[in-house]
Amino acid sequence: MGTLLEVRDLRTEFNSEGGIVKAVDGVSYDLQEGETLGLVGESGCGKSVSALSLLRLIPNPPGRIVGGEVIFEDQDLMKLSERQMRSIRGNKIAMIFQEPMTSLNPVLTIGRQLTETVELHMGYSPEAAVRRSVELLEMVGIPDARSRLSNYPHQFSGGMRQRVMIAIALSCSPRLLLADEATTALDVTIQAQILELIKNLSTELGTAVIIITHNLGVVARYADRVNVMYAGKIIERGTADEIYETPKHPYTRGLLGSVPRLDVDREDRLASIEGMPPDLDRLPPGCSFVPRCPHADDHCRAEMPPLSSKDGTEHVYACWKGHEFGPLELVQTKA
Amino acid sequence: MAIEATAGGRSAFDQLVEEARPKRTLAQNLKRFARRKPAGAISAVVLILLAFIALFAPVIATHDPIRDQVAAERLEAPSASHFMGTDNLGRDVFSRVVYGARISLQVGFLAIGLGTVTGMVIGVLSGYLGGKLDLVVQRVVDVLMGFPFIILAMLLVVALGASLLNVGIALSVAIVPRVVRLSRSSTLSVKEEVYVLAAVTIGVSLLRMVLRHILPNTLGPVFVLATGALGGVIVAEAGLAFLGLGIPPPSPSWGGMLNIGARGYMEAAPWMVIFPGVALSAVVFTFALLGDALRDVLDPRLRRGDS
Amino acid sequence: MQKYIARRVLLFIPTLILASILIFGILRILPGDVALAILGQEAAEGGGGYTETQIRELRAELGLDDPLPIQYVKWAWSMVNGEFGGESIRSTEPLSSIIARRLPVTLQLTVYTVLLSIIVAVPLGVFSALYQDKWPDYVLRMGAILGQSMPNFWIALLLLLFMVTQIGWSPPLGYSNIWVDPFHHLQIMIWPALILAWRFSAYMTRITRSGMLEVLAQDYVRTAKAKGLGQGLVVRRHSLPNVLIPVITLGGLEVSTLLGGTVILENLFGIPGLGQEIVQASVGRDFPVVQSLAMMLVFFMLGLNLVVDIAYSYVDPRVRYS
Repeated sequence: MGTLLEVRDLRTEFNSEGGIVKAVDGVSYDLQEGETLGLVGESGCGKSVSALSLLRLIPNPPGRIVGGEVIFEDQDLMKLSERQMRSIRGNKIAMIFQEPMTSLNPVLTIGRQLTETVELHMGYSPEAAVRRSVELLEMVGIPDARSRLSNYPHQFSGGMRQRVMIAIALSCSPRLLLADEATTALDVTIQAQILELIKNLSTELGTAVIIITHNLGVVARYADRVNVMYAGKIIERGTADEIYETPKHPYTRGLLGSVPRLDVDREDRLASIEGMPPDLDRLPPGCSFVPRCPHADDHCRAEMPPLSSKDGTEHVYACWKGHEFGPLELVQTKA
Repeated sequence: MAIEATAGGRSAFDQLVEEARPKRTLAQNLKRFARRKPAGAISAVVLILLAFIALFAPVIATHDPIRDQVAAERLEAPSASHFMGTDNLGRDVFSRVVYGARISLQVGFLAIGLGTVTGMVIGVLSGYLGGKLDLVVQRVVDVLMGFPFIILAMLLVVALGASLLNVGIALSVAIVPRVVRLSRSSTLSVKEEVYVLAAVTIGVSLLRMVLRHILPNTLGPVFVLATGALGGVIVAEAGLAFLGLGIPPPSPSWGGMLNIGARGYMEAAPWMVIFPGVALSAVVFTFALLGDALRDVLDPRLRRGDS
Repeated sequence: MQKYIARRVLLFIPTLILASILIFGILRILPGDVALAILGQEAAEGGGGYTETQIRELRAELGLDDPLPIQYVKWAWSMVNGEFGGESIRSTEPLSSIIARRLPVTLQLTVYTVLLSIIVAVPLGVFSALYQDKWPDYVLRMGAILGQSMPNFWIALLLLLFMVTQIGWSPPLGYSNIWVDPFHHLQIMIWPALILAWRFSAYMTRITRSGMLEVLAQDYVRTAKAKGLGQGLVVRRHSLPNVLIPVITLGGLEVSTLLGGTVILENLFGIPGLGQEIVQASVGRDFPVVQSLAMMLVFFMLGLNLVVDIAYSYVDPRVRYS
């Protein structure tokens, strides 16, 4: 299997009252065909913006993609015309958003919102598009699909709407699916169902998936590899197992400490990261994590560490002291 | 403790924000407003100028607006002695426009003052007391909102008779429904606030409740509404006068001047129509700008996508 | 949805009754005597006096000897049975014939204005929103502010002044029904319609623009873009229907202001609609005419609000299916 997507030094900025915010600040990663990649971080770390940047859907103004390359199937998406870009959106790269309650148009029927994608990209006739839509709704587990085509979004529950969103996203059998906090707004039981659905369908269709989430638990279960983002940069990357068992960046370690885990003693299992996520328009000169890091020293304050590893493995991290950390102690001391 | 901390009518969050914000003097605040809302600041200056003109009309006007009728100088074009020409009775148009500012502002402030006070009393009581009273008030307000503004004012002028006071009263009644609706809805939202509920549980009296907690919260939006409506009221006054239903001649109301000018003097003496109209439009325009700027600053809740 | 419409229609009747009570009440707040007021004015105009007998006769004619509730019921019933409150004091023309003659004219003027405004305002509002804060947006917004702050009767005077002095043409005198002489009809009606439409479309452009901006920021528009739809489809299919909901509602309410403008411009352009009659009647203290025509105008406005409410339920599926 080859490389499907290669992101090189992607930079996206926003104009805000406080100045320019570097929401995505030199992000690079790659994605293999059929792979599931996790993109993890707190809200505001730039993970959603980086996904929207791939599709060039950053609202401008105030946002702007200022640099970088996104090589998808051997062409740089950043260099395509708007028309060429449109033929990729919803077709080869599809996206599912966080808010199932608001991501569907309230005044159009589910059928209309489903059929338009295949009519546009695959040139289906209206009848063929309807047949395809019924198929898709059945595929995502919506009973009585044909009659539900004439329903409006408000007649569906949140979980059902997200299934519809998935059906729309998968309607043209995309090569890449971006799932931006696709389950965050849903009940826990529904979350698991939706994630299973995405996992199964993407395996079936051979679609690569980027799961964007703040929830490391989700990533550990569904992703092959994980990128951890902090303040617009990727600060650690590795396989899900590596990240989960031997996190090297203090931030990742903190994140994992704050995930509820069943395998840890109830009394001790929740720690938290001190402090607040940084203001992206007022970053310190060295490592962005310094103000919240218990291990920071003068070196950290002076110079941003590169994304690398001491022993040359694929598990890379942007921390001068990363190599000093061993496997995460499952039982933590009380903070 | 919780009650004490919030008794000032503000939440703890507001207080935090207040403390975090650097203290500013009045002059600094004005400067800030001028920088952020230049259009608003300019219109404020224009309106102060207008108030000045209205106040010192006798000093500024070159002639008496009513009595100086010189038959020999009828329909004269603008000149050094008559900046804006003369009208069909030989009166100085400039002086009449200057005195007209007085009438417009008098009627405007009378109508707005009366209308907002009445509207707020009704709205706050209706919102606070609720029940049958509220139901009746709501229905009446709904129906009155369906009346075209000028028709309602016209009916009242017909009933009361035309005079400056009566036109003011008529226009005040016409804006009452809007004020009632606004103050009622902000009363309702304040009523549900925790600090008001807390005050009720410790038995604060009704009057005190309304004066301390509810009125201050409705003042901002009502003030914004009033500023915006002032322009509308001034146009309505001019419209009534233009139709012959406003302040009766020979008072120099801008609308009345346009009415006379439109009756056959337009070709011979276009200045009779142009100058009062310019004055009227300028005033309405500045009030609209000021209302807009104030809305952004004072009442972020009313803020919409437009500006 | 039938239930929703039925409820609206049922609510309409008490609303009308309340409106009629308000109109009746307002015209009776005068502390003095209506008959005296009328005769006093006639006397002042004619230069003569009036006698006790005249007062008594007029009182009887106007039904002022009845107690107020009876007066009200008689008037309200006449509005229902088609007599519309009797006849004019000045011309003794029955109100039913006055209304039959003048209501269609006002309706036509209103319809022209609204149609013109919608044709202009919706595309301009969308355009302005798509070019937010760029120069076309500023130009349009300036035009809108001017349209909203220059009183329409002054714009009308300037227009007439310009036409007379600069092109030597003015709208023809007299009025023709559109079925009789459409060309003549349009030559007269187009000017007030254009002037009213400037203000009305300024308002409609503004709400279309702000509605559009709001909708363009919605998640479902982002979804539509992520599907690869072009701007045309994003605007036409995914944004406009959502914008039209508030535009219809707010536009319907604003017709009230439009009607006020109609009243003034009918007088200025000599258009024989309800507005011209109600102003002449007000100046002449023709109480029966003022009262009944005010009721007609309010009825028209409230009826329109009802229609808007019902139209709203057709546009918004969330109401349609509740």
